[in-house]
Amino acid sequence: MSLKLLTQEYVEEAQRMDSEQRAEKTLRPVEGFPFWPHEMIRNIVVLCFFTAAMLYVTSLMPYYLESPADPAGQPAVILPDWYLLWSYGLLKWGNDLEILNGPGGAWVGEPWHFWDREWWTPWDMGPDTGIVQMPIVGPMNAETVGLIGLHTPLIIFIFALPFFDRGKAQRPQEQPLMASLGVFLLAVLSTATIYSINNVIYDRWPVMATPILQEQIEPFLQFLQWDLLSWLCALIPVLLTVGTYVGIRVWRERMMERGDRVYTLNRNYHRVR
Amino acid sequence: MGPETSDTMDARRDGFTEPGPVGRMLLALFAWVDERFRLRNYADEFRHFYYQINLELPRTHTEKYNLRVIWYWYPLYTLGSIAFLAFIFAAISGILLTFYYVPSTAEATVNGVQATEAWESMTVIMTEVPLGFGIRALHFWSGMVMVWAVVLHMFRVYFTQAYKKPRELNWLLGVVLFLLTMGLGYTGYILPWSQLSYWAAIIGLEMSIATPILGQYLAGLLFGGVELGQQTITRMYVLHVILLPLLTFGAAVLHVVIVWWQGIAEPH
Repeated sequence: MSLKLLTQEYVEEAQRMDSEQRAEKTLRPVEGFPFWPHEMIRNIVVLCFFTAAMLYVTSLMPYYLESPADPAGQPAVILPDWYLLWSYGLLKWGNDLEILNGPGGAWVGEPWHFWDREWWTPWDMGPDTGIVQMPIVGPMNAETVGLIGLHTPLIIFIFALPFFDRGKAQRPQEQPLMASLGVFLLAVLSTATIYSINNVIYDRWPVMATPILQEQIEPFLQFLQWDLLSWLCALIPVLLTVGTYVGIRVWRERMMERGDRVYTLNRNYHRVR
Repeated sequence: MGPETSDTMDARRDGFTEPGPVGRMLLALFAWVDERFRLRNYADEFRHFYYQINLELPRTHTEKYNLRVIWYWYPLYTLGSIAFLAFIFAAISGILLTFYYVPSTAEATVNGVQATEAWESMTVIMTEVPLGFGIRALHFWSGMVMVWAVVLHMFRVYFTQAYKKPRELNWLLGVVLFLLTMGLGYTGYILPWSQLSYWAAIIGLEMSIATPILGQYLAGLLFGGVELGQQTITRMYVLHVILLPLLTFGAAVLHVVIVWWQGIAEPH
């Protein structure tokens, strides 16, 4: 059988089954762009380029081999791979969160050696302090703050996301709050990544260690070291988040006033869906 | 072709023609398998499936509303495919690497430098195995690309809010895949037993010990105790080479199948 006949038969059969099922109302309305073949045909083009780029990069940039492990020789800078730096940064912030640790640990300005027990435990929880050690409530060591206090809300937020954010809206412009929350997440993870290598940054750009309002803030809030880097890490996410929210609202107002064609269409589209 | 019989005429009326040599061979092959596995029982279902998956030809938002804009963020919609392909690349190059890699902390001296057998096998891969450095580079870069693609894919899904009904469970599966990717990266980082590997393992060990209540057990489970050693590298090897890849592959296939069922959240 020729290809033309085969195609013809295929299309006819498909249409027949399609109309049959439409008549029986067993065909649910399609809510998405079909993965196969529509999406994949476009993807395959990109994937071919990706494969070529991959081989090109690989042949140009072979990866080097580190020196062997030396348990006695502590390297000056120890870091996890870049995609885990955000987690490491959250741990450092947990270390800074001395509000939860009580007034004991003065860590501002002290050298940070995470391989010492003291680095991880700003609050001395030995028996002589007389403080009952509880796993979650009460004085916690820095790692617990970082692990439980900062990682858990993030993971819970990500897992629970589709169950509290409902509705039909699908564009950032339609939900300024969720969009700015996403920008906040992105910014916080980025600044946590940057803050995790703060030692390297202080070393290379000493200006980043310039204290700003440190004496004024310290008595009230013993969180960050309130140098230039800490200020940037604290302010950038807030600024970006507020900027996104205000920007979207302003943009929307303008689009509404102008009666923009695309905007109206999209709004109607969501109403009928 | 022989004389016309009523049989062949009927067949021609239905659009049926005699199969050629290739067709006859395929038919014989089908008959051979069919005799053993009764494939014909499933033939109708296969046929139905084959037509079913191609039934709908919906138009995109751009076509439907005759917009003069193209979806210029389209490349962001290929990130999932890129992550999957990067995983396949990493799997293939990883299988090649396992032929030479030795997960052992036994002492070995390489050119007068005190090292372990694991690190020694890395030097063998980098210097002696033909194209070994290239295979390792492919493994490294595909891992990097996979992590980037997964993270960007997540943010794409977040900002186009593709996690909403009916795709909630697929979002959860995606989060699990993200965590698995992180795990693959971390365990792979430990294996060469270089300086960075060793001290990254120390960080991970300290973190698992610091987990409340479960700390000791978690350290024992993941790192084989509260101190690094042969047990650590064995566990990391098993996690990186068998457990996590299998879980990742299964979850990724399920993820894609669900996308196939539900369609891409329509770009608009």
